[in-house]
Amino acid sequence: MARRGGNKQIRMRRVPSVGARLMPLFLLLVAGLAIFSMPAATLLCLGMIPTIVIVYTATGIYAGLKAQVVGLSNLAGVLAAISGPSQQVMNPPVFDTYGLALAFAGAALGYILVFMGPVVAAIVLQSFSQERLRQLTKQRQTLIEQWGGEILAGPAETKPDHEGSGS
Amino acid sequence: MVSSEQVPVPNEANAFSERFRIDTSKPLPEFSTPGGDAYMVVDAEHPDRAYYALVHNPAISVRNTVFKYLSDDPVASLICPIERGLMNVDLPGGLKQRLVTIFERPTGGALLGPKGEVHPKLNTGRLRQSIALQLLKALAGLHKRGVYHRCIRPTAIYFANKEGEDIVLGECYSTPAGYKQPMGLEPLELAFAQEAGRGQGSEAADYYQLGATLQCLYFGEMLWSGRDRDSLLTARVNQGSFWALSGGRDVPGTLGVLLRGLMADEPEARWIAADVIGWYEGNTAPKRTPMKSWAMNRPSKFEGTAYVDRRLLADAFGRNPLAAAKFLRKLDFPMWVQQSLRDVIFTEKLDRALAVRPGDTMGAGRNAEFEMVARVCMFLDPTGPVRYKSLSLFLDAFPAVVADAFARDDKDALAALDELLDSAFIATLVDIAADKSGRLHGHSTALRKYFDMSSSRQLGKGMERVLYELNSALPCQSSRFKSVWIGSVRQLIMALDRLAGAGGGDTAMYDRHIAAFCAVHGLDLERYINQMAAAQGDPARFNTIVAEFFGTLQAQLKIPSLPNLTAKVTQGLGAAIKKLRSKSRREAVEKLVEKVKKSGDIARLVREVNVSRLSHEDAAEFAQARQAMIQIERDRMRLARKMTAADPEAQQKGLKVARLIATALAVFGLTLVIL
Repeated sequence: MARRGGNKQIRMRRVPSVGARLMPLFLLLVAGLAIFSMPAATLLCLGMIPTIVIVYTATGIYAGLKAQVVGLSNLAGVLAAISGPSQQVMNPPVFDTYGLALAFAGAALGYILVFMGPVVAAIVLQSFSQERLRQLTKQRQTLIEQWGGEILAGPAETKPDHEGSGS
Repeated sequence: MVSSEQVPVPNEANAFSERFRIDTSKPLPEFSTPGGDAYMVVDAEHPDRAYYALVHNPAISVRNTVFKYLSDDPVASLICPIERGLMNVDLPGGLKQRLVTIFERPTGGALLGPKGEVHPKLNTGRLRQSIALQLLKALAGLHKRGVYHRCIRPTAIYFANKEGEDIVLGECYSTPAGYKQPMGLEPLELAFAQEAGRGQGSEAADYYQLGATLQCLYFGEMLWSGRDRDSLLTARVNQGSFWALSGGRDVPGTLGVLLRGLMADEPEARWIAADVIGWYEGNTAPKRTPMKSWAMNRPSKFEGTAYVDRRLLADAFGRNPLAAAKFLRKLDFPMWVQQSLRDVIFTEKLDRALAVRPGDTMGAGRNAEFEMVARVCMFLDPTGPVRYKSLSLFLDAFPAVVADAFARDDKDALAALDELLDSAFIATLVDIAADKSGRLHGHSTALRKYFDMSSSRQLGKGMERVLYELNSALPCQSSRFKSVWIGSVRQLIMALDRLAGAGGGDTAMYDRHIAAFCAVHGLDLERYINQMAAAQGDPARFNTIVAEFFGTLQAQLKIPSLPNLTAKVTQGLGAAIKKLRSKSRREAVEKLVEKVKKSGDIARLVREVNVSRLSHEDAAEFAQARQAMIQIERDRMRLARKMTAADPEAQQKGLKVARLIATALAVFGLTLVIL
């Protein structure tokens, strides 16, 4: 019974999601930024919404990687907006359409990268595979020439002759 | 056996060069023995000297020690061997290579011819005055050298020359001791054994033969001829050998005294050299010895005959063991022993050793009946031969009996001999006979090392091995060697080379006789024989070991070239080489084999082309190549499919590159903020 309980405990432990891990850091960053510049913090909050969305909606084994790509692109857009002219006049961020557009454009670029990255990688890898396949076919042919067709058939007869060689 | 499997006779085999020429058109039957046929021979160096040649029978072992003693130091009044060697002899079956021994030929003729004709110069006076003394001298000379003659027959005593003064005794080297000697000429203690199973005997046995021979010469008859074995044996037991052999006729005078002394049935009472010399000097004091009693207290009726003598009953049991077993099972055996053999103390130990139990034999072993009869026979006649199934032999005659069984191809006898080589069975017989016959123990100890090997079916073992172990002078008995004499491993390898040249010999090393002969006569060859035995089901491996075997032999014996055998060996190796999987290795080995084949040097072939090692390496490398091939196939399968964006590898690598780009953008944005 104790063992069952132990297993249950193990099953109940959950690996925290990417969002759960990054959210406290994000909030800390927003709070820190708000001390120096409230508009910049507001822009960061609003501009990073696409990232927050993907953090909580992305699935699959590469969900973390996708969130990182979108998040970093989104962050690049927000940072570009913060460094833009609207920050200098201290406009309320909710009306800073230029800044938000820049932040969302960064997020959009991230989504494009998420979509296009594997496509480009597949094309590149396919070309590499063809070359490797040619090499393997050549090696295979060499082995068949050396050892005959027997090398392809059945399980390997690996029992060496252990009787004395005699001389 | 097909003719191509017969080894051809060698061209150059004549051990005597051109000195002795055998004339096979002139046989000399008076000098022939079971061990060989005698022919006239001409000496090119000394044409005036008279010789005869004995062409030996390859199935019968010669007495090598006798040859050594007599050729080095001849005995007077005895035909002694002069020289021997291998020679091609034109025999009725064609030209054959045989061992030939040259003897000096007495020219006066046999005292009693092969058909019983008496020499005209033979008379009683000469018999008494000179012949007996000269024969005694010959025997004394032999015994001094530690040799017993054991083949003294009236037909094998000759006048040395035409004058008829001196006589010579026939040779005793061409057959084992007592081999096929007529039963009447064998002393009673050995006469119960079969013709080949009488063993070495003793001085006393020689003196009995001398007495019986003189008796035959006195009467001018072959006294044993035409006599039924059982009735003669019964008469010898009941009346004594002297009276039984003479058929009740007395030999009067001093010669009769001599013959009765020499033919005494108790070995202790029998005259020996000192007694004969005393007889010549007129001192004929009879020997007083305690008489052994072989008589039973009451007769036992077996198969319609009433037996009083224990030895005769044992003989009757031994000759009809199944009826004897039935007879014994019906008895209350301990009671029968107490009533019939009152001088025997029938102990519990003896009862257990004999193990004669009444009732049926259901559940008993296959040979239990025969073994029980053998035990009882040994109990009844402890100084007699071992009687088992069809055998009746003294254990020191085991070599001759095995050789005889092989010569007659008697499989039943061979099986019985094999069964006899059983430690527990022999130990029981020794226990039963121990108090009266210590020599049985000695002879059984000498056979001990063959107990395990005799029943083995392995190549190089079995009864063939026992045959050659016990008969070191016997040539190889393989049916391939009917026309040649193979007395050594060198001769064997040369013969196999000739056989290979004639297109035969493919399966020579599967021959049990050849394997056993090599194991016995070769130096450190048993290892190879065992390996061959283990590889019998794998021809490629077998041929590889055969090549190593011949290579070792060629090197050991320093034989420069064996062209035919090398070709045969390389042909045999072909299978092993073909089994090499590596094409490059196979081609290289084939090239090398072709090169070495021309030299006829198997030792070099084995040294340079070690097929065993190559096979070993080949197998290991093939295993590695197989693993590599499996990996290649797996990679090919993986790489052969079309890569899409949904592929995990493309996903992972694509997203990682995307992350790198996004990171660069973020760093760029951060730089803008900072600046």
